[in-house]
Amino acid sequence: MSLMAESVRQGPETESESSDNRLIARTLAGETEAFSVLVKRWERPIYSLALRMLGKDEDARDACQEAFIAAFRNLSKFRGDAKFSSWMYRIALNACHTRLRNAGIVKYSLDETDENGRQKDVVDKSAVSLSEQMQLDERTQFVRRALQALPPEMRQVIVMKEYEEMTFVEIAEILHLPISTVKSRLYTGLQHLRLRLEHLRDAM
Amino acid sequence: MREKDCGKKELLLSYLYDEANQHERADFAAHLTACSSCDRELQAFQGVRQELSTWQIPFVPHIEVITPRSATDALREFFSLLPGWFKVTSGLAVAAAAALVVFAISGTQIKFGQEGFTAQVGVKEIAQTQIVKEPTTSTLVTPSLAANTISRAEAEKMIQVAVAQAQAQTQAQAHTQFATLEAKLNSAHQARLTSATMRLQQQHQKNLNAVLAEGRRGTLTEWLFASAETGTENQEQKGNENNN
Repeated sequence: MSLMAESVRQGPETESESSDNRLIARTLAGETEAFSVLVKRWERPIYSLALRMLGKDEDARDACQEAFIAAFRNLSKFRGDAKFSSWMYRIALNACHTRLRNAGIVKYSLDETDENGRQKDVVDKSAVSLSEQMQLDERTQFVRRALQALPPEMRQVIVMKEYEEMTFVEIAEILHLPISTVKSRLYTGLQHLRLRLEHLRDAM
Repeated sequence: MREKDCGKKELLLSYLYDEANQHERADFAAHLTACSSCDRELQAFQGVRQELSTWQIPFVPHIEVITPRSATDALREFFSLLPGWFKVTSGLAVAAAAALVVFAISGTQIKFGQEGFTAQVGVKEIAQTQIVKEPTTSTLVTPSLAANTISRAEAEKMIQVAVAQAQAQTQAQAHTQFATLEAKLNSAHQARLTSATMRLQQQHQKNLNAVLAEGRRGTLTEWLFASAETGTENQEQKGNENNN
């Protein structure tokens, strides 16, 4: 039987969680400035998640805005059954998936080459500013392209595990998935990344 | 080329991300020595992880989230931006609006017509001010000045109304004083009647005691009649006693 992690809490409430809950209570009491503190606390992980999911800074910023506004509007629905961070990550992922679906921001494909046998450029290079390109070295570009080539369902698991350093239980809780499904997606995603990175390296 | 699946995928991932417990770690480490497929997969994934770690985000833009304000906050901010004269004016306007609401609730009617300004409470007209309708010979009189002028006839009428009101008030006060005096008189009269009755009863008892003391004998009927006669008319009883 697969373990669903929806109702799993990681031990007693931590100081950070308690602080989050106090800020939520103050926000719900009408002190909207308290929500700004919550945003400041979580903007870095949420933005990082959005950037790695969407690949472009502008889209990541917009997704963050949408996610935090959605969180504010639905804050009264947050029951505290799960951590605020889990709830916030879920909202941010939904915002990312909505943007990916509606705008078709990043096209992904597991097929490494096009019909002519040439390497597909799955990332819109024009979307990356010159300053950003200067900051990113060659290897980072490989990783960026390889990640964007993955289906979002696999990509999000890899991003949450590799960059947000979540446990399997936390990922399962946020995505409302069994841990076995999370591990399966991660395993397949890592295999695709391995092949993709090898191809990119060979193509250079 | 895909590696042979030995059913240790989940354990491999737990091992790779250091989430396996001590027993699982020992078990998988032993498995790795015997399974080259898993060993190669593990090393490949470790390489992928190393590649992924190269993408670090050097800076994070500050996310500006403009939270919607409550209606109260919005109103407070709106009024704080208004100039002082506007606040005073709007305050007066609010007071006037409140007065109109009170008038409406109390049945007061306020009319602006050609005959001037009219105010009514319920069905009774209490005040009426008319703008002078007489044509003015001076062209320098402004409409605002004309609107503030009251005709002589109207002034006399207003005085008459005021006098009538004063008279009515005086009459009402007189009625009240008369009613109070009447109540006092009635009270005093009642007290006198009660006192007289008491005296009569005492006298009656005294007479009875006197008769009994004299030892007069007679029938019960005679005694009762004698008592009734004594109780009915004090003077007559006194006379009878004197005769006896």
